[in-house]
Amino acid sequence: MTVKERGAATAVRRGKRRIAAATAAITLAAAAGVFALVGTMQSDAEADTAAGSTGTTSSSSPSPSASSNTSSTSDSSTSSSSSSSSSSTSSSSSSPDLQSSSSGVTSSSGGSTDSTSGAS
Amino acid sequence: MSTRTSTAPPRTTAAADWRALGTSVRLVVTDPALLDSCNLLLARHLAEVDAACSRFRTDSELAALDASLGRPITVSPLLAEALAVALRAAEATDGTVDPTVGSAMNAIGYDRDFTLVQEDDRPIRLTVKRAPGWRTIDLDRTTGTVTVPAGVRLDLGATAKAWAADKAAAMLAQVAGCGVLVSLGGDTAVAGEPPAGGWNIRVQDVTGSVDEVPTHGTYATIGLRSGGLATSGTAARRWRRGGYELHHIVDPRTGLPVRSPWRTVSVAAATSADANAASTACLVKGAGAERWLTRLGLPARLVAQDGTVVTTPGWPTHQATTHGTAA
Repeated sequence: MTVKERGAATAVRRGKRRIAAATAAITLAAAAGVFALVGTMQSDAEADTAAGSTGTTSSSSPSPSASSNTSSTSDSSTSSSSSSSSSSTSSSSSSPDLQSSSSGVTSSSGGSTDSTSGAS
Repeated sequence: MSTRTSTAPPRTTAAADWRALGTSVRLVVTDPALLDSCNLLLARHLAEVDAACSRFRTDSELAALDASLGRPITVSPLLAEALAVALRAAEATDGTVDPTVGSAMNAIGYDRDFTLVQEDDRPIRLTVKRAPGWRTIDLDRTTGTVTVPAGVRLDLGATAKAWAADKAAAMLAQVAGCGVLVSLGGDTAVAGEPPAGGWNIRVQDVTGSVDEVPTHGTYATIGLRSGGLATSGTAARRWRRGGYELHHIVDPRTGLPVRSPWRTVSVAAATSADANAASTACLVKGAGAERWLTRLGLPARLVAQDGTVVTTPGWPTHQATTHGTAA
């Protein structure tokens, strides 16, 4: 191999190293972004949970969307979100709000009872 | 299985009663000629649900998740749907109806079919332990995989019956082309063209025969034309163990049977699954639950421990409130 060829090979190797370094930097930045995003989502989620579970349970517990204030209680929760994969956490396709019936309920029309509904 | 046909023109229905999923099953159709066929389809559907969702069968898909040790598992579309319904219920109720209470259920002795729970006299130790939380469950509907952290036990008992009733009623109404009512332990779904005047459903503390008017507590009969109706309460599925009086509605924040100001809560909604999520959540939310229901626009009837009846807008109010009689 001539001196010229050796120089070219060295340049190629140098270039590869630079590309590898740049790739690693980009990967790290992306990962940091993902973790930051996951962290944000999780803290929101925990705030929701905390809001829904504070001492006086309920009475004034607002609808799910309204209960995200600040609190930053750190709890257990998310297990797999840190395991890199981009899998979706939740799933439920439809609206998270409970839906009322279009026809509602009416007074009984009288006559025979079709069914009963109670604890079981 | 028993069947009964009532003909009070112009209202004709036929009904079948039997048991599955550890609870009562009632099917009512507006075309009596189709009752047997519908009942067979319902039985097959419930067998599939049981094989997917049972907490007490070692061969169920749900049991396989217990052994997954945190690895992603591909599940059947049926179980994926049941899990999605459970997770949605948890989200919509601020986590008060949480499918990760399986270990808590086991801890209070409800680790087998309820008929066996009552006969079991093993000692138990009640300790406050928060449920892991529904957000620890990772369900990917696109790939049909679910990841349950090691040690987390799922219990779909709060939502699976209502969801199964919804699916069954919709499927049967479509196939049979008539009005259908499916009640699984009182979690009721209706579909198709209802009978004249709508479906008459009597809400009461404990699900029972239509022919036996409750002798204790209050009750009310309402009409339902679509969607679902569910009742949750602490008056049924109770047992004693080691000096403790226990029941099956567990508060995810403590892992213990909830102490609620409400004895019975009935809710009507677009689906039985939504109705059930709301009614169960009310028991856990306790005081103020009626305001939560009102904000959601859900008609409901709540019975306090002392028998006082509270209703939310949309619930028929013309009925009197009296113990032991219609209310």
